[in-house]
Amino acid sequence: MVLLAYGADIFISTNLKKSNKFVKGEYTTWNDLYNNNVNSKVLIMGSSRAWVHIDAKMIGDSLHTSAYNLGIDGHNFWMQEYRRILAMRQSVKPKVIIQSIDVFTLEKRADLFYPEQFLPYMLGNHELEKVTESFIGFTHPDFEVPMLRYYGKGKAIIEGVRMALQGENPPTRIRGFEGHEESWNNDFENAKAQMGSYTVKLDPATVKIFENYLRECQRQNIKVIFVYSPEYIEGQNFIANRTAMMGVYKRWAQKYNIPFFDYSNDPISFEKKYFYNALHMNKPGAEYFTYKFIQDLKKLPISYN
Amino acid sequence: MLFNSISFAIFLPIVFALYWFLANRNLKFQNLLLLISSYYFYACWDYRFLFLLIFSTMLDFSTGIKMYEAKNERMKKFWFWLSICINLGFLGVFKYYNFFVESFADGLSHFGIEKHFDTLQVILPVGISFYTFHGLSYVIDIYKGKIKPERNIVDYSVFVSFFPLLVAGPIERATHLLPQIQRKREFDSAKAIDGLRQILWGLFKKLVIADNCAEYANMVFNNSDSLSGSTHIVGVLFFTFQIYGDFSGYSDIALGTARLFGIDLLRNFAFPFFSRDTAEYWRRWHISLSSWFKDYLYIPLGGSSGGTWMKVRNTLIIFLVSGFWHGANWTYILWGLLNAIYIIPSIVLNTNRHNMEIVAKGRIFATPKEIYHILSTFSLTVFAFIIFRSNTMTDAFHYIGKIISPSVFTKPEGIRNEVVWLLIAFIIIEWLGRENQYAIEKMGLKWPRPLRLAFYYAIMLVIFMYAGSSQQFIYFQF
Repeated sequence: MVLLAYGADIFISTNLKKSNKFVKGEYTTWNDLYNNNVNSKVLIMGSSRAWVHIDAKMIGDSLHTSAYNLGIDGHNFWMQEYRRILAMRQSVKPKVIIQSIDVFTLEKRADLFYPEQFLPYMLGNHELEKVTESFIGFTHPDFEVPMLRYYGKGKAIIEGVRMALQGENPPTRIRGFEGHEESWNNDFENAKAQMGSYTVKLDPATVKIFENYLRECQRQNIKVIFVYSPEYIEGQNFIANRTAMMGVYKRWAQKYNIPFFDYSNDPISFEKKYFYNALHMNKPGAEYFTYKFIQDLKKLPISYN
Repeated sequence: MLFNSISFAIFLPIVFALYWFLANRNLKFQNLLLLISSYYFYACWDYRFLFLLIFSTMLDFSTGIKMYEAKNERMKKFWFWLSICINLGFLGVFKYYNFFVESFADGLSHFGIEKHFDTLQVILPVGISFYTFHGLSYVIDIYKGKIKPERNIVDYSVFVSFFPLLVAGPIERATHLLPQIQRKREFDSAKAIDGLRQILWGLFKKLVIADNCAEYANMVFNNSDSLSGSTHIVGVLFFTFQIYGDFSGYSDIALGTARLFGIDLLRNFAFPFFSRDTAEYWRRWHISLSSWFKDYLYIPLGGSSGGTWMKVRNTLIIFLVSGFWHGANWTYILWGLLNAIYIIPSIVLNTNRHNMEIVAKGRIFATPKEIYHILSTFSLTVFAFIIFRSNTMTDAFHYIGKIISPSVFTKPEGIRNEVVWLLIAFIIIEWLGRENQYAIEKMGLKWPRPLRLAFYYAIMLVIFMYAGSSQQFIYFQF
C-alpha cells in the first residue's frame, strides 16, 4: 500500500509539474527555480502585478542582459521572498532586483493561495513546509505521507495523468512573464460593491523580512529598484490607506538608497483600455508599460550585467 | 469528532475491535463499552456538556421509573411534567433564550420602548435537540403506558447517547432501539459489509456532494450583492444539494456505523427529491423527526380525527414547531410556515396520501407527468431553502429580489464543471437505487466480484479526488 502510494505520488507529481497550463502556469516558474534554470542578472519580483506587467524578455533584450520574472499570483511578499531565496542559490547571481510593489505587498493572507501550485514539490520538502506552515492549507503529514496532499485535488491528479498521456501543453510564460489578452471585466465593480473600500493591514512579520531582504541585498551589492506599475486611477481610491502605504515604500527607498519608479499617475493609469481590472494591465498595457519602464531603467547609472 | 475526520477513522476501528473481539461474549460489557465510547465521542466536542447529557439521561431514567411506580395519577403527572419541563427548559435556555429575549426587546421597540436585556453568552451544546427528543419520547411513551421503564441505567444511557446518533440523529424511539440494546448481538458479516457500504455512500454524499456544493452556495449567500440573479438560482440549488448530501450523508454514516455494531437505526431519508408532492416529500425527508412530530404532537393534538380544519390547524402547528426546532430564528419559522402552506391544499383536498410508494416503482423511467410533479415539488423545496439558508428575513427577501431581477437571464458565474458532472452522476445513481434503503445498497451485488470491487474503489477514488473543503455538518447546529 505504501509502495503503491509512493509510486502514484511520483507518477502524478513528475507529470503534473510538466504542465504549463495548470495553476496559471506557476509550475513553469517553480520548475525553473528548482532546476537551476532562472540564472539571470536581473530578477523581477512581485505578485501577479509583476507577473502580468513586466516583460522579462523585453527587459533582457533591451538592456543586453538576462532577466527573469518571478512574479507569483495572489501571494504577498512572504512567498515572493521564498522565490528570491531559491533564485539566489542558482549559479548566476543577480545584479539587479526589480521589486514590483503594490499596496498589498506587506499584507499576509491567512489562506495559502492556489495551494495546487505546491503539490508536486512538497513530499519531503521541509523548506517549503516551513514557508507555508503559517498559512491555512497544508499540515505536516501532507509533506510526509505520499498522496495525502492530493486528497480533494482531483483536477491536479487528472492534469498529472493528462500530462503523462502527452496532452496539449503550450507554454504560457516566457521568462516568467505572461501577458493577458483580456479586456476590462467586472472584478473592480464587484469588489467595490462588496466592500466599498479596503484598508490594508500591514503584517509585522512580512515587514521585518522585507527590511531584512533590503539589507541583505545591500550587503551583497545587489541593486534593488522599486517599481509601482500603473494602477487604474479609479481603483486607487478603493484602498483607504494607500497614501500611508506609499509612504512606507518611500521611506525605505530613501533609507536604502533605492530608485523608486511610481507609475500611479502615469498617463497609462488613466487609460481603461490598458487594464482588465483596476490592478492588472492587459497585454497591450503591459507591453507599453515595459517599454516605458525600460527607458527609465536605462537612465539609471547602473550596470545590468 | 466529525464522522469525516482522521480521529473518527482511528476511533471507530478501535471501538469496533474491542466490541467484537474483547467484549463479544458479554452483552453487559458490550453495552458498557458503547457507553464509554459514546461519552468519549461526545466529550471530544466539549467535555463540559457531557455533564448536561448525563444529567438529562439520569433525569429521564429516574422520572420514567417514578412515573411507572407512582401510586396515583397525580404523582404520575407530577413526574411526567417535571421531566418535560426540565427537558424543554434546557432546550429553552440553551437554544431559545436569546431569541425570545431579543424578539421581546424588538417587539417593545416597535412601541417606542427601548429596553436592553442581557443575553446568554453560551454555545449550543451539540446534539441537545436530538437527545432531548430521545428522552422526551421515552418519558411520553411510559406516561402513555406504551412501554415499561428501563431498569438498567447502562442500557438506557446507551439508548440516549449511542455515538452514531448522538449529535444529529436519527431521533430514535425506545420501542425500536432499546430492545436491540438489550438483546445479545452476534457479529453478522453481511450486516457489517452492508454498513460499510452505507458509510461509503454517506461519505460520498458528504465529502463530494455536500462539501463541494457548500463552497459555491456559501460564496453566493455571502456575496449576494455583487452576483447575478442566475447565480442566485444556482446558489440555492447547490445549497439544496448541500443540505441533502450533508444530512442524508451523515445519516447514512450513522446507520452504517450502527450496523457495524449489529444495531439498526431508524431510516432518516428515502430519496425526498424524487417526491411528487410536498406531503410525500415530508414522508421522505428527516423521517425520524417528521414521525416524532406526528406521534408526539400531531396525534395528541387530535391528528386527523376532528375533520379537515383540525387537520389543517394541527399541520400548521407541527410545521411551525418543526421550523422552530431547527433554530431560534424567524427564518426557520417562516420556512416551516411556507412548507405548511405547500402541504395544506393537499390536506384540504385529501390528496396528501396519494403518493405513498416511490415514484416509478419497478420501472427505469418516470412518466412525463411524474417528472412534472417531481420538478414542481423540487422547485418549491428549493424556494423554501432560500429562507432556511438566509441569516435573516431581510437577507431572504433580498435574495429572492435578486432572483427576480433581469440578471436572471445572464450566465451564472463561477460554476465548476466537475461539480456539475458529479451532481449529475449522483442524481443518476440515486434514481437507479431509489427502491432501496440507500442508493448503492444493492448496486453491483449481482455483478462479478472484481467489477463490484472496482465500483467501490471508484467511489473511493472519486471521494479522494473530489472531496470539497471540509465543512461542519449542518445539522450539528440544531
